[in-house]
Amino acid sequence: MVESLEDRVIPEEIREDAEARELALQAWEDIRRAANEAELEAIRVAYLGKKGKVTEILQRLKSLPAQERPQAGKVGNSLKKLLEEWLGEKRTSLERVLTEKTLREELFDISLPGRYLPRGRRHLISRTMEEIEDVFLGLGYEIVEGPEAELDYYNFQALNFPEDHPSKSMQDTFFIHREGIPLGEVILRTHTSPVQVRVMESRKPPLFVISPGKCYRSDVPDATHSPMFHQVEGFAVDQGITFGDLKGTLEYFARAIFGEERQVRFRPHFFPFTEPSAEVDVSCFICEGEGCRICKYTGWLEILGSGMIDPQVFSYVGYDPERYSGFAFGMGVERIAMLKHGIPDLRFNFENDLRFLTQF
Amino acid sequence: MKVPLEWLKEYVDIEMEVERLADLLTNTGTEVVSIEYPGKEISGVTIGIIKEIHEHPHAQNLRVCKVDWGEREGEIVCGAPNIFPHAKVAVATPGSTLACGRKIMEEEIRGVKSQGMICSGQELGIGEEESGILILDMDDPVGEDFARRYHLGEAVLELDITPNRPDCLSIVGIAREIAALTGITYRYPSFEVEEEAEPIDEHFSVEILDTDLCPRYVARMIVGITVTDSPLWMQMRLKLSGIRPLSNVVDCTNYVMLELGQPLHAFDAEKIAESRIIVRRARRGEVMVTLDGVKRALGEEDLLICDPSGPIALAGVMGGENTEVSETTRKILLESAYFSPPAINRTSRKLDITSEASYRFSRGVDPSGALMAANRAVQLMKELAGGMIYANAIDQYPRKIHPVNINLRPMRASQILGAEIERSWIVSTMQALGLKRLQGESGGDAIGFEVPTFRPDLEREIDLIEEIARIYGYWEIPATLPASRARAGKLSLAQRRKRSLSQLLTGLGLNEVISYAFVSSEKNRYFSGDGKEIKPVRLANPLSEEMAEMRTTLYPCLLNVLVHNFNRGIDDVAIFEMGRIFRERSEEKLPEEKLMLGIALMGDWEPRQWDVSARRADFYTMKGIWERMLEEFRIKDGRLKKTERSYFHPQLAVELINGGETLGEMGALHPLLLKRWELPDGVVAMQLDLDLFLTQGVKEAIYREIPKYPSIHMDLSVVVPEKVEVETVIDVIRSHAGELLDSVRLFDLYRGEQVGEGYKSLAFRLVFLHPRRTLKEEEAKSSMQRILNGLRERLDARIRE
Ligand SMILES: [Zn+2]
Repeated sequence: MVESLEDRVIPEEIREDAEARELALQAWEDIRRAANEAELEAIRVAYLGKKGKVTEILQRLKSLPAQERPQAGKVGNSLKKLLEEWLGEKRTSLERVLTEKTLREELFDISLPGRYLPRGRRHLISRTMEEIEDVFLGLGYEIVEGPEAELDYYNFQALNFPEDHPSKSMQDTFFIHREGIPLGEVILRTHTSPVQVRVMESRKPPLFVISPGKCYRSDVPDATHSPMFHQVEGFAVDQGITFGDLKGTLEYFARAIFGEERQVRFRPHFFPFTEPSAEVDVSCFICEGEGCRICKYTGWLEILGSGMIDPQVFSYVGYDPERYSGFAFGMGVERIAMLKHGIPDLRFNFENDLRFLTQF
Repeated sequence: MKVPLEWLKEYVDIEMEVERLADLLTNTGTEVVSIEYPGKEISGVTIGIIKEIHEHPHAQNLRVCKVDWGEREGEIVCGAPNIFPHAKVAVATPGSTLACGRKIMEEEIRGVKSQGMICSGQELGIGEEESGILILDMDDPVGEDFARRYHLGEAVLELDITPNRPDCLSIVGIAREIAALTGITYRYPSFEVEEEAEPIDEHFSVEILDTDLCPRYVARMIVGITVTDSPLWMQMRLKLSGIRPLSNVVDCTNYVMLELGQPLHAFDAEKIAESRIIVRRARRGEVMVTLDGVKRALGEEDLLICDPSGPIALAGVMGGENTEVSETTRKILLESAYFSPPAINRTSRKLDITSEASYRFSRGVDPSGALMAANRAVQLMKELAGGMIYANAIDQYPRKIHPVNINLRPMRASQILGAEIERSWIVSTMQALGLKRLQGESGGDAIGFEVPTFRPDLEREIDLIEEIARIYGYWEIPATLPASRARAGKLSLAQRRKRSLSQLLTGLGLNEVISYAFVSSEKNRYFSGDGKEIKPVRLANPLSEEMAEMRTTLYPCLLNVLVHNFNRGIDDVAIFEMGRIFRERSEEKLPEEKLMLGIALMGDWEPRQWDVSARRADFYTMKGIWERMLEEFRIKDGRLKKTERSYFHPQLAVELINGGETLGEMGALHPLLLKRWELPDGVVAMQLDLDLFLTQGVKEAIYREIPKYPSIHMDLSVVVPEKVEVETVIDVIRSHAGELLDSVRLFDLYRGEQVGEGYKSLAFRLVFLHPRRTLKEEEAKSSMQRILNGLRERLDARIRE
């Protein structure tokens, strides 16, 4: 409420009526002085109550001559309206002051901890796997999963592994024991590549598929080995797929996962089920290619194996290699996660210590 | 494989920097793992000669040598037992540095001034710990820098050769590869065999009984040799290549193997009965002692080199003890053979022996190179060990391995690679790789090539296309994306829901875990308590008993995680795992795999806070999670059904049902089971079949009208006997309410004096609603009256006013 009356607009009819003006000035002063709601109420009664001063003026109207009544009525009503307005303003003002005072009296400690809210974490490996999946979903791939316990046929033979390949031994592969089935026929898959064969066997190109999942190798757990790990396998088969397409796809992937500024290098390598084959390196993002312990001072980090699907694999699934071509790639999820997050020991991923899990 | 650059340069003129060479090799498939410079610290070590040796005046085990190292003579104190006058030695002159970086100065040793040090092999970084000093060759020139003469400090490349490239497992092979990559020429070692003795076939014979496993066997013989150490230059090259020198004869075989890639074996010819070799398969139950002294049990798949009295070598893998070369050996029969790669691989894996020889034979040596390697080695032996070489070689080659011919279509290469590659470039590159262009037309645009026998990996057109890509340079092929067809990269319903379920659970405060899928048989058995027979999947070769079977439920894995954390002082654990369980199926070879969700809660669900007390996770917490999951997928008919499980609390065990189908189960784990796992009481767990659950419920929600009219709330408080379940009460409420009851929710449960023993008081909030108009209070009240009557009649309930 504005404290000074000079700033207030007082209607002309009141200003020109001596009695009314006096009454208004007096009321202003009373209202201004009111210190609380009760005092303000008493003032209201004194002016606007049944026997209030303004009420009296209005009641007097009846006894006035007819020609004076309109003017006097106007003055009285104007005065009533003015006082109601002032009272209202004062009431609001009193309320604000009172509330403000109460709020300031109550004690708070804003340094108390925030209330507990539940918070759980996805496993680092799941998160990384989803990140990889999303890149390929964006490129138009679909996700297909296959069995973890697999036939030798899908895991090795149809992928063109020679009969005496070292990884087919019990030193490398878990064999499933089962009465009446020759040892080695049913195994725990050593990579997710068998899904490639299963999908091609049951469908026709074009195929753009990735297959994430668990794989197993009979390695005793240590910092760099694990009897169980995760892979994402991917493949594209269509007419006219080229080695250049493989390069473009995996460069896109590597930059999406490891950063736009990464260099990508393709090195010839050997895998039984691809020809030509390539290992893919990205420039080390820890030392920026300068050479460090993580990249073994080469400036490069190997992240995946890839190649053009060998015509022999096509012949196993009944595709005409003259008509279709394709590429395939596979990567270790743990390796990618560990590189990205600086994790020194593979075992941490499967110990499930909450102090580890909740870091990511 | 380790390749000393200095040795490599003998067969190919390399001008480029070693780092560039390494990049070139790596980028074309011969990965250079490291470049090392053994002995690069060495400086100032000079070749000297010991002139005189005197006793040390104050120390019995030391002597004082007068040494001439060219620029001057000096006295050096030495403790090595193998010094002798006129020995050539490596002298660390004052101010010089050893391999380990140690600086040598003049110093007084027990009162005699030593003007330097005579070095051992170890001090020069080329030998193991030994008490003697390194004795140099007699013709080493005094005064020459030792490191320079023996190429110390020069690069040694470590290469990772892929299994398809046995031709690269030799120095000459690498030289050939570099030549093909750079267009320069390479050369084989040049030598001539000086034959002095009679023809070998008058004195020795070889008979191959199994020509499948041994298509070729070459033998040469030399007599009158002296077995001793090989010269230092040869020892150095072997050491730098990672092979320990043994004697001049054996070193020659290893040297030629490294040089040409052909493994060789030297027999003491005088120990071979009847001077006759028979190559045959082992008989079942046959045994032999290999030269490591181990008795080996053999089978019919193993190939043996025998004399008429029995086995003398395990073909391609290891020699026999009975014909081993010794210091007294005078006559050598040298074997240079081609064995079937799978056969050698099988035997070496079966017996767990990997030798440099078996490694090369398993991958495939060049069958055409056997004779040259034998010639090279026998001539080297003559030069280093003396003796006379018998004229001619025995060369049994009953099953000739012919070169393969391949037609290559340049168009096809361009199509596969996605780069235009010139026909003429292809021809010259193939020729640089040693392929012969065949004359005569192969039809169409194809070019015919004959593949040399040292490249067994080249069998098909695609193999040649790989060679083209490799040499052309992967880096030169433009990166493209597959020509676009309309494809939608999209998750399936189950895949999408699996993701959203993970988000829901983490949002509720659960942490995801991933466990090994192997558990012990015992732990699997703890959780086979649902009465149904479960056949676990057993591993034939588990890592341990703890990992003997594939899990049949997720429970053991979840409990392992609880135990791991509990033992580390983490008492409050809420976890979930999404993973497969495995069960044997009688009708199929492959086991059944089911994707399951497992949840386990231990300790506090909400911790104690500054104005709220802690809340334990319990059965009802788990039920809450289940209800949230139903809600997430808009599943209406989800419910619980009481059940019995040996591992659950007898009362707190339920099946999770939707529409008559059991999707899973949950319960409080039995206190006795928890005791056995040394876990605290009150752990609750759930297991749910995700293959089923993820496809239940409403897939696409359809809009329902939001109520336009106000609802009326009324609270109801009833006292019922303890044994009456809340669900029963709610059922009665619903069945008597009529259509206006919109929802009913329990908000209080009270037991105590006021309601009396054996009773409980339940308070519900009821919401009444009319879908098409404003509900009148009397309507709600009359519905409430019917409910009250129903409760009294059906449940003997007391209504609290
Ligand atoms: Zn680095």
